[in-house]
Formats: sequence, C-alpha cells, structure tokens
Amino acid sequence: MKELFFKTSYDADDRGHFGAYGGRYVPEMLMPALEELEKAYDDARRDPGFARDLTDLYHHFSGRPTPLYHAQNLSRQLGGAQIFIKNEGLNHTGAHKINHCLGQALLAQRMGKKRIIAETGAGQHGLATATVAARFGFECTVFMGEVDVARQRPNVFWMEQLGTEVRPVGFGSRTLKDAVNAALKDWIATVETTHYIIGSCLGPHPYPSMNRDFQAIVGAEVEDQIQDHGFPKPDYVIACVGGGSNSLGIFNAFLDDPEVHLIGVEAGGKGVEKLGDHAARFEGGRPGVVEGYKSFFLQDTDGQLTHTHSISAGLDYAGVGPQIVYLKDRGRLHLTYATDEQAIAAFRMLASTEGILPALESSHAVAEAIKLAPTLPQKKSIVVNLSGRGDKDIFIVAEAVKDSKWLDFLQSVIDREKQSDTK
Amino acid sequence: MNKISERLDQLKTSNTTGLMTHLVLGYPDMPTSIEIARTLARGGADFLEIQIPFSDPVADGPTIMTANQTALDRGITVPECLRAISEICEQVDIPVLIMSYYNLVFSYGTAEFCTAAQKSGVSGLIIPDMPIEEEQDELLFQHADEHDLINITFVSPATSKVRLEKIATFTRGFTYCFSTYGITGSRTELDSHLASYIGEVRKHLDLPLGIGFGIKTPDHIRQIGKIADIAIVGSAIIDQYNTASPDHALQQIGSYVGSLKAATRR
Repeated sequence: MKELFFKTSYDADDRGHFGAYGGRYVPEMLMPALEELEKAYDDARRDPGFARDLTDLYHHFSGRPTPLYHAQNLSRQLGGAQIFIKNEGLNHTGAHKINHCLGQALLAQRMGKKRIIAETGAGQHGLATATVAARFGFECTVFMGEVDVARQRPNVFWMEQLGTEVRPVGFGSRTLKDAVNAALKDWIATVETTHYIIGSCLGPHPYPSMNRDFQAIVGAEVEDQIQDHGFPKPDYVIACVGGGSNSLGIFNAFLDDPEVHLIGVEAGGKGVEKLGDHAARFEGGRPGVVEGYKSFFLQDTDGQLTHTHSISAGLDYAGVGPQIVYLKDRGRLHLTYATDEQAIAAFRMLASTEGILPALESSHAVAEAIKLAPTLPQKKSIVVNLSGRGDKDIFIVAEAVKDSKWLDFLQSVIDREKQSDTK
Repeated sequence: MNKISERLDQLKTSNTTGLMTHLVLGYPDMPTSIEIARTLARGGADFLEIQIPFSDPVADGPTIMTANQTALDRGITVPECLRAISEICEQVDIPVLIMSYYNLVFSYGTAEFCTAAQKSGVSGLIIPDMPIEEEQDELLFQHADEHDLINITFVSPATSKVRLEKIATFTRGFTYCFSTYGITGSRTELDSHLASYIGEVRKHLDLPLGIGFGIKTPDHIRQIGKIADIAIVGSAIIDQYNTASPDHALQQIGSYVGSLKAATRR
C-alpha cells in the first residue's frame, strides 16, 4: 500500500493555495495558532513514529481497513457496471470522520493541548471528536447549530455520554456555518490550551491539506482492494461532497491517474433552481472568502452567505473545500448533484438490495451510481464511497418514508414517560 | 493628506488620546444608525468606524454579531450602506473608516470597492479577515493606497516578533491592537499584560497604536492613554443603545461618548 502521507500534483502551494483557492483569511488572533499548527503538522508528517501511531489507531481503534464490497445484487438489478461499496460506515463511530479526528487528536497531543473543540453538522464529526476526546483524555466542547441539534438528537445524546459538552448555536441560520463561526470564536479566546478539530477539508490552511491527508487512507485502501476484485483500478469513483473530507479522502490516491473518473455529488435539496433550496455550491455558487478560506460559496449578490437546505445535515453547508474547486477547475473532477428525493430513493434501494443502510449523505453518492451504472458496460467498475452508515438518520428517514408505525412508536414512548412521571 | 494621518498629527500636538467609536450600519435601523454616527461625532469621537453588516462576522462577539444579523434581517444591502456612509461623511468632520469582512469587498470587486469608498468620503478600511499574507493575490492594500485609503493592519498578544516586523512594513496611519486573545465584547478589567504586550509591539512598530476589544469605561481610556495613541470602543456603544429606553438612546450614547472623551486628556 501507499505510504500514509503522499504527495500529488494537485497539492496546495506553501501558502495553502490550491490555484486561486484556499489560503488563510483569518483575523490576526488566529494567525499564530495556525502557524503553530502548520509547523506541528509538517513535523508530524515527516516523523515515521507519527505515521506508525496513527496507523495503529486506524487498525485497532477504528477497525480499518474498511471493506470494499462488491454490490452484486444492486449491479445486477441495474444491469450495467459493477458497483463496489467502500464501506466507511463500518468504522468505529459509523463514518469516515473518525479518520481525521484520530489524526488531529494525535497531533493535538503532540502539541501539548489539553482541550479540543469542534463544530458539527450531522453530528458525525462531533461524535468522532467526542470519541477521540474520551480516548485521549481531552476536555471537549462541540458546537452545533440549534437546527442540527434538533434533527440529530441521537448523536447529541451520544456525545454527551462520551463526556463532551455540546453547545447549541442559536445565531444565524443555526446550522453548520454558524457552528463553525462559534467554534472559531472559542478558539480565538482559548488558543493557548485548545486545538480546534475542523471537521472537513476546509477552513484556513493547513486544515484542507491536513484533513485530506488524514482521510487519504480511504483511497489508498481502495487502490489495493479493487485488485482483489479483478480490476487493476476503478473506472469511476463517486463520493458525496459536503466540505470534501470523504470525497478527497477517496479521490486523493487516484488524482494522478487520469484513467480513473472522479465524480462528486452535491446536495440538490428540493431542487437547484432557487438559492436556499439546496446546498449545491456549483449550481449557483461563486467564489468568495468566508470563514478563513477562499472557495465557492452559496451567497447573495452582496456576498452574504445564503441559507442552504439538504435532507442530510452533513451536506447542508454553503461552502466547499478549496481543493474541490481546484480539481473542478483543472478538469480533474466532475461535479453533479442528487436531490433529497433521489437520496431517499437510493437509500431504500441499497437497503433492500444489499442489506446496507447508508447515511443520507452517502445516499447522494449512491444515487449517482444508480444513475451511472446502467449507462456503462458490465466490465466497468464504479466505487462508491459510503462515507457513513444510516443508523443516525432513523428519525429523518422514518419521516421521509412516512412510516406511521414509527410515529405510533414515538408517541408510545412519550406516553410511557408521562405515565411514569405521574406515578 | 489622508484625514486619518491629519487627525493623528493633531492628537499628538494636543497630547490627547484618540477616540475611535464604532457602529453597525442598519442597527437598529438605517436612519437611527446614521443618527448614531452623528451623535458619536458630536460627542467627541476622533474616528468613526462604520461596520457594513456581514452574515459571518468571525471576529465579532455576540453583541455586534446580533446587530449584524438584525440589520441583515431587515434586508440591508452593500450599495445602501455605501450611500449611507456617503451621507454620514458629508455630515461629520472626522475621518470615517469602513469596517467589514473581506467577502463583501471581494464580492464588490476589491478595486471597485476602494473606488466607491473613496467617492463616499471614507479615509480608511478595517478588514480583519484579510491578512498581509494574502495581499499578493488580493491587492487590497495596493488598491486602498491608490485611492488614498488607509487599510488598517492588526496585531494581537500572540503575534510573533517576525510577524510584527512584516506587519510594520504594511502599516500606514495606525495599527489596530487587539487587547486580549478574546473577541469583541465588553469586559470590566483590561488584560494585566496589556502594557508589556504593547511595549513589545512598540519595539517593532514605530507608528501610532490603537487598542480595541473590551474597551468600555473612562478608566480604560486613561489606561490606554498611557501606552497607546487611540482607544477603540465598539460593542460598549451598542450596549448603551440596547439598555437605554428608545426615546433616550441617542442622548444616552451622546453623554456616554462625552464621558469617554473627557478621559482622553492626558
């Protein structure tokens, strides 16, 4: 397998610029912290001991390597290319987020930090952060928009059980972008003792590069695993694109292999015609500089970030990692989108044909594979990054498929609670 | 000569601490915020920092952030803000600086924004999320300079000596020193390390220094007067507005600024 940290011809320059994007657009208070982090990361990356420790955690704590599963039933039913599922949902905590959390926790420990903070949308990154905080003995605060707290209660509950303080963010649109904002503010005030674990390949340099490197194990594993299935390399690799952590994680190993087609799937929400109805940055977004980095953002004519919508909290964000834009600009990455409805349909199809419940984020990637596979011959291969498992989305999916028995169940739980209260 | 530099010269001659006061345009509404600007100028402010609201103000605390959101919820736009700033500049004598976040400038077009700011009568820009490292791509300092605007630089207690020297080469007018690691918002005590930190900055930056973040009381102004050139008061003014009864809010802001002004004589 590849070395844990490897270079590609699509890396950032020394100042963290991916072509015209990326950089470090932060208030002066954050500058020293980012310089410190950049230096610590550069040192760690060159230290074989760090790679060894991280690999050990990947294997024995998170359960890597995750399988590359040949979805034969789904492939047969669609009657085209062979679909392979890179099942990141089988990681400890249920999603790929644990990969960069382990990397950053190890780095924070190396830097002598005592506390970690994070922002979270779907709650998966928060949960992964809370998990590593418990594992490494860090004090931990996770910032989460009130809207997300409401729709991802199970993850909030688990974070609290892990000893993390979940701080709901009640300003702005009360979703992921506001959680990022709140976390940055906390960091500005606590930078000496605290490391901020940003949850995707975005934010100021060095986060986009660092998180990509901590996620790159995903693609590196696929590169080997696909050969076990008789393919020298995948013909297509599909991943959903929120900030870019799972997508860059699987793409990175293939960037310099132009025969491998890379497809990113954004959240089309209720449709991409109207700003506010979706979170597809390449459908109506434009360049901007927000929250410390230059990239594509969904914004109004003045440059104010607009509200976004997606059924999956993890994709419901106005910005996207700078390397994603760079890959698109250089023609290396094709971007498309799936709507809420298509994601739910894909969820149901994968569940019923393969016995795999994908996270709603990952369902967007599955939706694209379902579209693409029938247009390709059977000897072609499609690898879908199933970034997370769907357990966390039980409430949203139950609502989306209008399961009345689920509502009855919720009501019965409430009734039972009430009864025991009155006793 | 730029009005900021002129004012700094006057302050030096008269041996007083400069007073820079801040407001968020469109908070609580546009006409009132324009009135607040006039009130601050009448009350004795030496510089007016006028914030154009942004959806993601990363360097602001809850008070100013809420004011930003309130103004945006009312549908305020950048062109409207520039018109209002132009109106304010006609009515006040003191130098006006636009404070905002870089995305609004970038979105408008960096050169175009500087042209518009100059046309409005503005003397300087305060853009906390556009560090000197990005100048080679953004050319904000350069465009500001070409339009006789001073683009203010920043330092914080965590800024290294190496950075201080780099920042010094970009600085014109004065440097905005963050008083603490924290974000904007009123606090009762100034950081005990403030004097030694500012002393360190002085060694590398031989230019006027402004101190902002958490500056609230006449006593704060007197303390700053001993070590720096300008005291910058932000969210404390919004706090004054928020705690006053609507009928007396302007009056209260006026007398508050008066009390700060009285503490600027050295």
